[in-house]
Amino acid sequence: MRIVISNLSRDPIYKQIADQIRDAIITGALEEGEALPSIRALAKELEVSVITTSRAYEELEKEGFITSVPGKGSFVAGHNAELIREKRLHLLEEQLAEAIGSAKQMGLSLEEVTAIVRLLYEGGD
Amino acid sequence: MSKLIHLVRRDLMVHKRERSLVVPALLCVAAAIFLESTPGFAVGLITTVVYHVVVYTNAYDFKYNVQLGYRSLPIPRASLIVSRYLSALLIFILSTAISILASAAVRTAGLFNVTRGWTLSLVALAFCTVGLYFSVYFPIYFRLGYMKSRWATYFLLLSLYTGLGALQGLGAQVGGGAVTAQIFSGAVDAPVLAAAVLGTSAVLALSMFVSIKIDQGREL
Amino acid sequence: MEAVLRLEGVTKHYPGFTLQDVSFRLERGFVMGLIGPNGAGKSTTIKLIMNLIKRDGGIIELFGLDNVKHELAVKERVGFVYDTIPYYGMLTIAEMKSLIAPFYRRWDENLFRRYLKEFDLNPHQVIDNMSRGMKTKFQLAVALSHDAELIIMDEPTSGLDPVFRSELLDILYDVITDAGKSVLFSTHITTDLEKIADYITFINQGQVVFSLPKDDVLERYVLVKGGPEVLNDPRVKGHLIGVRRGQMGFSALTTEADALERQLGDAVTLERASLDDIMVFLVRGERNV
Repeated sequence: MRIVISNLSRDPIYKQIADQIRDAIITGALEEGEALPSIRALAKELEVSVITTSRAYEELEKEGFITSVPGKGSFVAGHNAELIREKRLHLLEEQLAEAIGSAKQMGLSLEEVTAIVRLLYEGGD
Repeated sequence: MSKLIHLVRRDLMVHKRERSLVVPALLCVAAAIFLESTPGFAVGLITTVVYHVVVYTNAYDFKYNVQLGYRSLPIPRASLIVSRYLSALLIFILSTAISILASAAVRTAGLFNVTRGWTLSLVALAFCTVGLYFSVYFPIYFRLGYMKSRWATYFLLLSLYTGLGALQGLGAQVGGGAVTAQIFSGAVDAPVLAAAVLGTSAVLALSMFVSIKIDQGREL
Repeated sequence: MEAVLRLEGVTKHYPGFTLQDVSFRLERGFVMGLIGPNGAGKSTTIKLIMNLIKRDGGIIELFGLDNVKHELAVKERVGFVYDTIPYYGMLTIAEMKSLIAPFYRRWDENLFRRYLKEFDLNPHQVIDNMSRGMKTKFQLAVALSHDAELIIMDEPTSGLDPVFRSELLDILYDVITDAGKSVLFSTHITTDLEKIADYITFINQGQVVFSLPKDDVLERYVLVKGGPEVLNDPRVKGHLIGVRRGQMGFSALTTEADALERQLGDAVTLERASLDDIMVFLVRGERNV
């Protein structure tokens, strides 16, 4: 497994770790059922704090990419591409619901919201 | 409490590397010689020996700020105090033993015209002198700390010499020197000896109690 | 989960300095950095925890036990590393150890020897002849050899070069792999803590400024830089901390990086703040350079 942390990037470190592990799982570099290092071993390896690695794993577990078994460690989740996609869609729906809620509060119409969505989608990162 | 031995051990170990035990040892031998002419002075020398060793230990404690370490260990504060008294006692025993041996050697070899040796009375006198001195010394040391107590305790020692000298002189005048002769020839009755030793021990115990109380009120 | 260390409302009065209402807690298995400028009260806090000085008020508990009432039980489980080694310099490591070890019930001699080897220390070396770094490692070897659950370090790296500090951190990374051990690391050199600390407690002038997970601290405070005209922008008012004004621009800290970015776009440059930056900006406040 390859994880490289940048201290200069403004991305929080836990996010960098989670992103890189997620990519490894999606591309198949990490296989289903494969064991991940413990949060403490990973903290020592990457020279970051335990809370950081712990948070990265928590995020990945919430997203459904890994599962943690108390006493045994963390493993790449039963890798059903469909399942992962479903989970990610669910998360996306939640995020959009929140954004739409805010928009409604501000009194934006569906057209205005769609325009913003289009801008962001086409505008890139 | 069995761990006290390790606290007492440290008071001796600090002298290991330095040559700071040579002078005390010589003074013990000197004491054996002075027993002949001025036994009072000999007792003073023994007291000085114990004083010297104890003060050096205190100096090292101060130099290396050892209090910081020992107070951070799981050791009851009272143990740290009691062990100092025990160390002083141990040093007294050792120096008297050395002096007794030196005395025997000197007399056997016929040197310095020494005929008198350490008698039980003299040893008891030494014990009482050392005991009473340190009953005062330790509370002062624990109250003022090493730096501030140095002069006070040094002058205390000088007064002790003066005191012993005066007592000796007085004793030579009173009753035609009978009392002094008694002490110095070891002819003092056992009950009197026992009373003196027990009395000194009681004073030491009281001093220990006072030192512990003083130390409780002090901060690092 | 039981906190290995809990301070609540701790107060200590000195003529000219007061430690006021200090509260924070450290959970088992984590590293907490205690940071602050010199004289802020870090050492005083540590001395209070170790009961080297008496507190005037508040609660200090280790492993759920009052640090005064259960002083001996607590000290059995605590290892300490101070910035000056409080042991006899004329003795060797082995001799000094023989004076310390008997007081710890859970002393592990084999473990101690392994640490000496790992730290490259010769047991027959006289302490006075050891470098400062070696003395620190000796203290750490002792601290790790009696099954201590909390290691307290008071400025262990001050006066030491980056190479040694890196060595020390490597040792600490090893320590944290044991979930049963916690570390409280007091220092004014914040770079040591940037990476390893889980929590940061920042003390200044006798008071706790914040006690938070380190990641939260680094997310909350962001470095802002911009041209001098930005300071006149009304949208910026009240959102900048510790502004350093210069002829050609300014730098400051902010807790509202996202808002500023949205409103001012390219007029401001936002950067990750280091713990050092955070400490300096919070302590020094407004400054004209």
